[in-house]
Amino acid sequence: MTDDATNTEAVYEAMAQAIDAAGPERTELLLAKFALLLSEETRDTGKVLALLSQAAATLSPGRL
Amino acid sequence: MRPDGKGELESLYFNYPRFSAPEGAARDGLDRRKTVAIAGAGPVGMAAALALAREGVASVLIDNKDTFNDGSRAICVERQSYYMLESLGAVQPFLEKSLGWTKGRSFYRGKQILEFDMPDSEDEKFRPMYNIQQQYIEAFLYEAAAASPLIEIRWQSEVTGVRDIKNGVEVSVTDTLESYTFEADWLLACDGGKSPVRKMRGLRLKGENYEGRYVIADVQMDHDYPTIRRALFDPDCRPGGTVLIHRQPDNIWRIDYQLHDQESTEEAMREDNIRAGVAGVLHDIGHTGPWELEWWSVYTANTLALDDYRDGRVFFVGDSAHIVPIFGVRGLNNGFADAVNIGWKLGWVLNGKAAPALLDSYTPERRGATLDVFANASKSARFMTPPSHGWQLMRDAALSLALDHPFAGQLANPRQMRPYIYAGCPGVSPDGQGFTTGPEAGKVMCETRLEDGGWLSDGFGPGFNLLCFDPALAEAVRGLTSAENLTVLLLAPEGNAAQICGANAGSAYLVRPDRHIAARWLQASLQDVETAYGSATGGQGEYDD
Repeated sequence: MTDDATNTEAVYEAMAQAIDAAGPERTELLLAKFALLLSEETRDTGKVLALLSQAAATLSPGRL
Repeated sequence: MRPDGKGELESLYFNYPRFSAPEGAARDGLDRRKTVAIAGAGPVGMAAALALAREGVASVLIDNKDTFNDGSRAICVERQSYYMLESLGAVQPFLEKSLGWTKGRSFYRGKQILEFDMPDSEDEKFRPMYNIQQQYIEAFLYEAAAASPLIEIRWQSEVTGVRDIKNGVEVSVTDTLESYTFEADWLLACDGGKSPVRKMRGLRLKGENYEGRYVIADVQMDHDYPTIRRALFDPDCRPGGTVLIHRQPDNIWRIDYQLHDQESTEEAMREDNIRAGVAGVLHDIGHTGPWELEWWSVYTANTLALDDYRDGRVFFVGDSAHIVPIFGVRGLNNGFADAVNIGWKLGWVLNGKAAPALLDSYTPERRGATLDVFANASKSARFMTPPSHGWQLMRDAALSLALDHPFAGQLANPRQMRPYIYAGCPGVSPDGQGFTTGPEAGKVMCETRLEDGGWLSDGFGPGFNLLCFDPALAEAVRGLTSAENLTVLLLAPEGNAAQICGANAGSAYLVRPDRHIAARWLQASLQDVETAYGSATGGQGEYDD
């Protein structure tokens, strides 16, 4: 595996654990806070908004 | 509303005067034609009358009430409004009574998440904001209006009809003694959010009704806290809701709290519920001493405006033309700006100093200001009163983060508004090329202290002003017209004024009577000034569309 894939996998696992720890009631809040923090860290509004569009574009039924 | 057992106008701190309809000799000539009639003697109507009087134009105010509006209502008056009040000759009592402030604090679940300072410095003549109850605002404007021989006020007189006639309108009035009509060349509808004149003209406000409802309540108490606006998000007393707290003169504190969706307005307005609501807030801010309930009301956050602020010979001014959410404190402040805008323009047209086309710039400038408020106030409203699950979630995420991340706290900044920039409006020239700093064309002129210790604005004349740094240009412009129309301020090219203007020895700023910049040039010529002055007074061909 490349370093990038390793990094993504680490985030993937940590998010799964954090979402479980927060519980269904608090998951949304957790993810919203996480997104704002990432956005602030990135300081690239255009990129963040494009990524948000990408995430939203594949939410429709039948797609993963 | 007031507590049980109190009279309708029985205040803890303010004596409401009682005005009667015109009596005796004052009834002679009620039906005489007037140049300008003003429907509504509230703060906006009186400001409009004073703005016209400043141009030497007489007006008559018609109001169905017998006293001032009841309750503190619009309490935050901004810096630019103080300049307007100064130009109307009414600012002194405001400075003596009101509480200036610069700072706001926001709290989330009892913890401070944001402290913001509005721009202020030793180079500012007035503070960014002042708190004062609306009764005082009306009383001080009334004193100025009553002292003017050009202003007549008819109380207990209701406008019941408006009919178009040649070159004017016929206004029908019913007072305590009779009904009569009179003709007026122009009518300013300053008759508030429910404007009867607007209904008579068959016009409707358009836009959105927000669901957020706020109780606004005044209490009198000894409470030790500076004049700092406090916003409480999700406090113990109102889980999920928002509370605002403002200090006012006379030991009066304004408490605004949001109603939950399931709370009915009728229930919330009951005195026992108001007392419980206020007590909860006071508990949260640690006030343990006694307090007295003074007055309360309910407010719904709306963004509504007329498409056109002019209808023939009728101009809509203030709340009759637009209703804005409470959070941006733009209701009365924009009402004052409307009144001053139409006041100087109508005055100049009536005096023959400007072409009638100047009046066509009222709607784009002032409706533009309203739409700008909508854009900003809607942001505030969505934060204070999230309209849906998505807005609620992101608001909660921001507040939750703000406890230890200041960047997120900035999202809770109420965006107390700056004055609107009239860029691109007819009569405002395109901004001068080459400037690296200084206020651009369309903006309100900024303030500074001059080398002699006085304020830059103290040198302004009653009409247009040219800030000029070149003696030869100053001399040439002075030859163009009288100082009453255009005052030339010759300033030092290395001085404080030149610095804030980003000016050199050849630069110039042309400032309108309402202190907005009509044009500026890094290198000005006499021809430039002449052209811009002509355009700003409705004389050039820019009004065709």
